[in-house]
Amino acid sequence: MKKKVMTVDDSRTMRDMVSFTLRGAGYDVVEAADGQQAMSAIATNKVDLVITDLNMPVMDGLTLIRKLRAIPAHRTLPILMLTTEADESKKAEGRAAGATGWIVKPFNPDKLVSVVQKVCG
Amino acid sequence: MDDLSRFKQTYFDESAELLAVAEAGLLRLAPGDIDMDEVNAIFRAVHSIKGGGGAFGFNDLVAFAHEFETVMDGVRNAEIPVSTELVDTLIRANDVLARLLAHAADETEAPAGTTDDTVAALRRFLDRSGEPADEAPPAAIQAAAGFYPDDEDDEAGIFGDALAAIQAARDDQPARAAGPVPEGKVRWTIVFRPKAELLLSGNEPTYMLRALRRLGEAEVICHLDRLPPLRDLDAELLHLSWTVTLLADPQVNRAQIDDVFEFVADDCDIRISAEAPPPAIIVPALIAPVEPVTPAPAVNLPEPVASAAAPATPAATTSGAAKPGDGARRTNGGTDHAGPATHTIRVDLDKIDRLVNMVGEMVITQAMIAEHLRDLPPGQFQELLEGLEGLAQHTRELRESVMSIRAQPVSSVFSRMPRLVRECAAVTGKEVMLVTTGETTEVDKTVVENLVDPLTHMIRNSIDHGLEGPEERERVGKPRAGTVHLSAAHRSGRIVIEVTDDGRGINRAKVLSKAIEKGLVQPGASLSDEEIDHLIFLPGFSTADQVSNLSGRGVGMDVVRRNISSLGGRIGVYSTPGEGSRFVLSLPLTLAVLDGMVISVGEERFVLPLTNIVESLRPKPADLHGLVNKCDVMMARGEYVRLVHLHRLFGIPKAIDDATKGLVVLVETEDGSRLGLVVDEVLGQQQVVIKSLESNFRRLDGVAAATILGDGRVALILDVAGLREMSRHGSGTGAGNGNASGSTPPSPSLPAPADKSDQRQRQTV
Amino acid sequence: MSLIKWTEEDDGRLRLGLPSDLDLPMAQPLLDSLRAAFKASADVTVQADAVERISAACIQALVVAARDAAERGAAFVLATPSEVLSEACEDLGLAVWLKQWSRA
Repeated sequence: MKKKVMTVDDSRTMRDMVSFTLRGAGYDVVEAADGQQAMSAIATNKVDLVITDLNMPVMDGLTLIRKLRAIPAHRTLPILMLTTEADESKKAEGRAAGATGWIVKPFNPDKLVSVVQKVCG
Repeated sequence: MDDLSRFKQTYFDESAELLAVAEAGLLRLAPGDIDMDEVNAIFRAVHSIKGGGGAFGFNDLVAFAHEFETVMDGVRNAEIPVSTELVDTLIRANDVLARLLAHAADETEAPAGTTDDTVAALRRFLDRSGEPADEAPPAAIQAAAGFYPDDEDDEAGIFGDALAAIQAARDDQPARAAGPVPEGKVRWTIVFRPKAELLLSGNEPTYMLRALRRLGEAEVICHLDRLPPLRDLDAELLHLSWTVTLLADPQVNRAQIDDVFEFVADDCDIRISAEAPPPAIIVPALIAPVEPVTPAPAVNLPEPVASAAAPATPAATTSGAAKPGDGARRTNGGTDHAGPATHTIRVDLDKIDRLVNMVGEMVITQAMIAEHLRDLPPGQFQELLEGLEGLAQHTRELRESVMSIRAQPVSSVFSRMPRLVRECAAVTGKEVMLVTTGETTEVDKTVVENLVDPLTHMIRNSIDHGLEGPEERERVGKPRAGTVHLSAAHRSGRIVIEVTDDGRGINRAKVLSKAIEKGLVQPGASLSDEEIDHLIFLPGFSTADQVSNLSGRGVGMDVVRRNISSLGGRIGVYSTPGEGSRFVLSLPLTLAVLDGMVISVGEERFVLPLTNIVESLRPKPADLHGLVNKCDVMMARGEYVRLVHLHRLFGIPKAIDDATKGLVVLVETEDGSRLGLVVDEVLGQQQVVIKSLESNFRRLDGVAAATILGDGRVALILDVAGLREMSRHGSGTGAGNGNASGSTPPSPSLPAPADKSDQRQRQTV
Repeated sequence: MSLIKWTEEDDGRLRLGLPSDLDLPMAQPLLDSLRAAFKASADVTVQADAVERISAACIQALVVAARDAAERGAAFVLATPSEVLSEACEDLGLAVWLKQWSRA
């Protein structure tokens, strides 16, 4: 059974890169351009992992994480946030909001795959 | 006890790295410019040193580290404000810690009272921060008791951890004999005890352990001892824990293992240790950088200058903030995760040197065989010739591999400079910003080691003589803080190191009058700007108005020049009045082997470094132009190039004088100027093993070193820039070697040195 | 309390059919079901061929249940474990445990 990963990012390029890399590594990928879209997509898709950017229009990443955590079914759903090296405080904020882990930008495909494997097999 | 001693060396090595991390961080720490990550890094470094020290029973060290750590903790929690005084005390504490580590490593006792002053100074900050005065028993007593309440959250002490992990692994599986680690592998033991809540963050041990298993051959043991009975089990709390024994390739490093647990670091107790097979193999070291072969620099740091450590003058207080600019790199970045040296092995330097020597001899032997085979009738022994070609190729690769073992990044030298700059800034009352680039540039270990003194002096020189004081700088419209830029780069087979400052530049009038006053230059001599600038390399030259603390060290730029030239390097200076100076060092990457072109002049053979050669050609008579003073020039590629007749320069009989009958080898020096060397013949390209002339004979102008050719003859390796200088002075004075071809002293295999002292002094190196 | 569906067979054996999705939120229902099953019968078979996703928490529940059964002398069998379950046990260092308690 293929694991399904949702990538949430307002940057199309970023979504494409994540999709391409993860599909190549044997995952199914669904895309969402912001937190709002992610919330509605996740209602109809059982996903194994959410990878979300933080700074997004409409609904930002931290809000998305908090909203997902408030839904019992997604209480412990693995959620990775995309952050930049300098954002130690963001990491902490993300952890507090309920993120499972983080991927530091910029990342290479191998790193992305290894982090994804680490949290969802 | 075996386990202990096995990890001790690693502990000292790691501690040296940690000290460097702490020092680098402390040097960047300044009031109003506090990077909490940096502060945390310093805290962690000290904490780790303490943790490891505890495992080995270094009680004094642990007690002192505890004091240090306590203050850092206060800084971390913003209870202790960052002041220049604090930073100075902390730097001193780091030095004391280094000394204690050195004593621990030597198994000697630190002299009584080593830590007293510093401990007192550290405690003053604690008192000031509003905490009650230290009423706890003296730290040493605590240390003896081996009890630190704050170690419950032990995040450091890799080696304490390692020992505990090994112990834990043994406790868990008493029957399992830990067999020897197979060659070429590293055995990691990872003890992973999640907190019960680990799953709630969405992390899944199954996948983490799976990721770990991808790194090698893993044996996973699941501990069930903490499982509650069925009726008490809370479904979402985790009570399993694991010990993983991972047999991995040496390429797998600690960071990769840490990475697996990256997201759960706060949610578990994780202990990681490594065991490598006895160091019998060299293979990994051929690939891996060999940094750990030498002790990290921090341990050997000179004792701090007292005046720098006690900032009594207002100048030092305001100018002590020497810190790198944006372009500067964290030279010790990443060492947090370095862990035990797993993909490197330690090899005695003697062994490497023997290897280098042997490879050198092999290069010669290979060249000799090639030489002999040249006499074979053509068209025969085709396979032999092909085989020989292969041998030549492999010899070259072997040589490069062996050389890379000795290669080290210059960062080990560069990383010492921030401290130096800080000291110099404090002493001179100047504000200095040090920017370094190219720290990762690699060069032979010997070269790296020998760079410390010259660079130290050059930087001191730049700050002392080059940079203006802040007020003066402001007056001339420059930023108050002067900039010293230290850079390294590879350029055409050499390493080029530059020290640039944006100070006042060389005061040529002053230099010239000083040189005349000291009798180094004849009064009335007309010297070019460049020549005047280079006078500062003359022995005993100093232009400081008064003898400052810095120049009181008794080293001049002439010593720098000598150091550099003994490494086969050159130093040049380029200065623009009012804008600054640039010192350029050019050094060979290795001191052992060189790609050369063998040329003949009369009966003599010389080797020209291939990196200097542009082309060789036979000029037509129309290309040649005679000038007065016997300085011939030649038109080559639309450019006039000065011709240098090697036989005239070195007094070699029976050589071809007419360039149209011999050959001209067009050469280029590092600074791009060209020269045409008139030779009899170009014999071919060859790798040669460099044999120092200085250590066996003495330095000769125009000669970099000697070598032994394939036929067993000794040949001199020419120094192109040196030749240029010789020819320039030869023609400039009109009385040097230039026209003395018939009367130079007899010297059958070694050329006559141009040893007229006045002439020699005027040469740039 | 939601329970996983089980079937009672003629000889009093109880067969618990594990769902495909045994992620962390399913750990509580699984645990409740195991407790209830043991209350109802001394011979419990867990049918595990459908499992396609499993959290360590669910495996932990199975491990505790197996130990509990052994202590009480009750019968407990993991029937036809799926590939996903086998792999997860392998990862968690429980391959031997699984072999001990499973039946193809």
